[in-house]
Order: sequence, then structure tokens, then C-alpha cells
Amino acid sequence: MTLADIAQALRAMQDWPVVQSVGQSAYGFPLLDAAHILFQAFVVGSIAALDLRLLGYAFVHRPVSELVRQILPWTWAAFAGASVTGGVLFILNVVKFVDNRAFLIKMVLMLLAGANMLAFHNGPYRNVDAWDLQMPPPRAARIAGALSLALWLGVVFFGRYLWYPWSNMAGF
Amino acid sequence: MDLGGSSRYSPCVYYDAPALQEFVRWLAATSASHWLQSVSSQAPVLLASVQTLHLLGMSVVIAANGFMAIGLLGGLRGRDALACLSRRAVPWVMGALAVMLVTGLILIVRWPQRILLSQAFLPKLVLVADGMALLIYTARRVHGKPGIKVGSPAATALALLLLLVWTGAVIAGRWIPFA
Repeated sequence: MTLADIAQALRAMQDWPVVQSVGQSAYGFPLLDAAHILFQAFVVGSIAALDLRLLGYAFVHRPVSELVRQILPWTWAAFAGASVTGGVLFILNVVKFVDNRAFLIKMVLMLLAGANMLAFHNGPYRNVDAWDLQMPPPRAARIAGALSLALWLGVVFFGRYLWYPWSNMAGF
Repeated sequence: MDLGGSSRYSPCVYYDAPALQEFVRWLAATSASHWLQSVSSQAPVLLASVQTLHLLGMSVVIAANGFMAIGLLGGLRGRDALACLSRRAVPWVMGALAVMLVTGLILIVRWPQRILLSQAFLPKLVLVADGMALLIYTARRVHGKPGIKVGSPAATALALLLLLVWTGAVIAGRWIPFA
């Protein structure tokens, strides 16, 4: 399968009835966009709370493991909502996004944020019992928190930037 | 076929308010507005950065209110999770709103017509003010005596109101370019 085949398949998705109805409705697109922003805001805000705890700046009297158990299930639920709404937004704008470098950078940053989270859960979080309330948290945990904050900041920035006419990065 | 994005931006439906229109004309003619327009065309990254800060502030507000609602509905594990959250949420939300106010003002000076004359702008402000008052009231109820019982009808009603008002604020904010 070539890139042209993928692009053709993506364009064909625009003919799906559900996509057509959202795209042609006066309210469909703004509502979908608002839902995507709402889910994304919840994801970023909740992850930032955990990151700030890992950096030792917020919720310092709460055990890290307790915060992770409280926050992450809801973060995943919101991430699912953001993925579904973002997927439909992508299909609606496939011609605009398919060769949009800001969009590609956003996707890469999200993958890196996911890899950082995996590394944290398979690294310092494995022995969280040993540092659950330790201040400051271990260096590896602080690095994971700082990286996560920076990556999600980038996701929000490029998520905003990709809508502009200059999102082919000519402005950089 | 491009069904979404900037192509759907329609001209604003202006309020029939001569004083507001006069103010918008004055604001658009100020040197600050001209300067922001030239900066955003020469260095678009700066404008995108201001919008990013606005969205980050919104993320703090939405997450704090979302978890308050989840806590009121009994969805947070931990004995005093809701009390801890409500103690810390209000200062964080205040800080985030300050960031949103400053960045929002910059965006208004850059696009006075598009924002101030949009029919969605005033509802957004009203909903944000309502949401903030509701959050402060909820935090006080959580810490007051006899307090509020998680999962009770009163707590459920407050949670649903919080979700409804802040969802409405986000929708109204996103609707500004379309209305």
C-alpha cells in the first residue's frame, strides 16, 4: 500500500454518512471541535496535576500511587473521547491535515508522551512504595514529570498551530 | 473536499449595539491592535503561544472542575480525596483564570471584531463567572459543617451543574468564531 492509496482511503472516509452529516450540519463541526477541546483540556489538566506532583510542586502530601489510581482512569476515559472526536475532525479535514507538518509533529509528540509514560510505569513507578511520599521525588520520576509536561505543552501548541494557514511551518 | 476548518468561519453576527461597535472600531484602530496584527503576521508563533497559554489555563480549570464533579459523584478513591482536592482546586483555578484573562485580553486586542461582536462571547463570560461562583460554593460546602455527603442528591446536583456550566463555557468559547 502506497502513501497515495492511504490518502485515497482517507478521502473516501469523508463519504461516510456520519462524517457527511457532521460536516454538513451548521452545528456539527463547532460542537465536535468543542467536545475535542473539552476532552483534551481534561487530559492535559489531569496529566499536568500528576506531573507537578512528580516534580514536587503540587499535592505533595498525597502519595504518588494514590494520585495515579485516582486520576489516570479518568484521564484514559477522556483520552478515548479526545481520540474519537479528534479522529472525526481528522477525517473531516483530511486534505488539510495529511501533509500538515504541525499535525504530524503533534502526533509524534503524543507518541513520545505515551512512550515517556510507559517508561515511567516500567521504571521508577515499579518501586513507588519506596518513594511514595519522598520529597523531592527521585530524579527519574522528576525527569519523567518534566518531560511529560513539556511534551503535552507541545501537543497543545501544535494542536492550535495546525489550524492556521501558515501551519506548513513557514512561520518558523 | 474540505468540510471543516477555517473554511467554515462565517462573518460574525454583530450585536445591534452602536456603543459596542464604536468601541470595537476604536480598539481595532489603536496602535496596540495594529502592533499585534503585524506581530502575528510576522511571527505567528507568538500568537499561537498566547493561544496555547489560554488553552493551558482552560485545561487547569476543566480538570479541576471535572474532578470536583467526579468526587461529588463518588468517583474518587480515597477517604478525604474530595476535601483535599477542593482545598487545592480553587487557588489553582484562580491562577489559571488570571492567565486566561491576560491572554484573552491580548486575543481581544488582536481580533476585536471577531471576539467582541460574536454572539457567543457574552454567554461565555457569564458561564465562566457562574462556573467560578459554583466552584467556590462547592468548595465551601465540602468544608462546611455539616458538610456535603458524597453521592447525596445535593452533591449530585452540584456535580451536574458544574459539568453543565463548564461544558457550556467551553462550547460558547469555541463558538465565538462561528457566531
